[in-house]
Amino acid sequence: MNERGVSSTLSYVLALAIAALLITGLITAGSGFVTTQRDAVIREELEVIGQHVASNVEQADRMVEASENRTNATVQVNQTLPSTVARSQYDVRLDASESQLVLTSTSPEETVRVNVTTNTTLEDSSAGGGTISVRNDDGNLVIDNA
Amino acid sequence: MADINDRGQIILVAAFALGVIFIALAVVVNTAIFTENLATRSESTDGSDALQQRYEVEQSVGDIIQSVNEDNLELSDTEEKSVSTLRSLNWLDYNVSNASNQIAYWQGQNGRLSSVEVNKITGGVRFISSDTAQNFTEGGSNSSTWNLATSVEDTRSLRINITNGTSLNDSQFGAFNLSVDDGTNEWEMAVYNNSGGDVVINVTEPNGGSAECRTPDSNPTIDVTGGTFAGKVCPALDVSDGTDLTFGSNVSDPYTISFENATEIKGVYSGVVNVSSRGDVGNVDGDTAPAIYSAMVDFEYRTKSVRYATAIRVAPGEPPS
Repeated sequence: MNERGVSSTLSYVLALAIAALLITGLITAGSGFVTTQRDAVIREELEVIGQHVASNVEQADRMVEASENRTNATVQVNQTLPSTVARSQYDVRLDASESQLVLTSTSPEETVRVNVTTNTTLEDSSAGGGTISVRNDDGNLVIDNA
Repeated sequence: MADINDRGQIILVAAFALGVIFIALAVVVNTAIFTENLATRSESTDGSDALQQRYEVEQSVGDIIQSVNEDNLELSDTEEKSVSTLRSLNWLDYNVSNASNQIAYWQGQNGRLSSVEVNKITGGVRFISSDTAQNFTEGGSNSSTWNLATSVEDTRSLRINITNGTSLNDSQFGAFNLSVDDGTNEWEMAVYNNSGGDVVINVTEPNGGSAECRTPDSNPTIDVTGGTFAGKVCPALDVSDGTDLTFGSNVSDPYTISFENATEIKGVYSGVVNVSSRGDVGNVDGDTAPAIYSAMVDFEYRTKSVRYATAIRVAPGEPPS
């Protein structure tokens, strides 16, 4: 009875092949899904962090604006933000020419841009994740790690 | 052939792998919770408190300056009235330091550090006419066209309280006129009654443009530097013909403030001018005294996330520059 149609060896090989195919498909789809979700989460987190840093830059701008002498007013706004996003390092760059904050995560590499609107001039500068400080540097706003 | 119980291992391993993948997903999504939570907070640093504190300090020091100036008016004539006297009496420094301690105490309770210190004082002269039923002539009886102040650098708190609001001149021509003139540009403000009995102020700009405000109030106050008339914002003083100029704004220093047809108005006028000597203020029928025109104070504010240190110039009642 068992020898009918196919041999037991072939039956094994077929069964294994089908199972392997099915499982490979599942794992590929599953990890793909996780990767997509992770990228989305990273972008979302960078966006939130960017908005916070932008709000601090604008807050510092208001404080510089309210100063009698812009160049020698001491203005510093610190905020402790997550040091990683979804276990990826990131840095924040203040792009003076575009009036934007550019947040980039390292692996996977995702970039998010957030606009900042200030009267005070900005200076190209950057900071890594963690405690980010916005300072007045001789009438220009810079960001760095406090 | 394997035992029946050993079958399905590949599926078991695969299920384990998939399980690990989805646990990783859970961990990743979990990290988003913190930032999502962060996103819902309006402002996690208290930078606006620093600005609010700066504003409070400006107001408090302004009040202290006014009070020190008023005390100075009450100095007896034998006491030497000068800005250096004021400074040496340390009234401003003393009061500001008191205020600073009070502020520091309250802020300290919320974990903030704050300090205020007088850095520099700019002297000037404060004048106030004394008799509410008196017209605005020089010394109360002399000339009706005269210079209230010459070589003026700045003016603040210039107020006119009218007591004969129903018996002013009934036309702009020949009416009481306040003029601010640097020799090139001249601003004028005429005060008169219109046919309806309202009190009208008509402001003429150096370029000839004019605007007016009116009130049915018979004893209105004109806050010339504050831009209000009878307690309301007066666009003529504040913004004439849409050019966004306050009264006297494009007049360069030093300038002269003068009255014309001063017999046509009764009431009290007062103000503080930044002039180099007491002789720059004319013969006011009332009191003139050296006063603090403005002060520069050093303000410092610190919290765990904010550091703010700046000089604040305090000149209460000065028009925006």
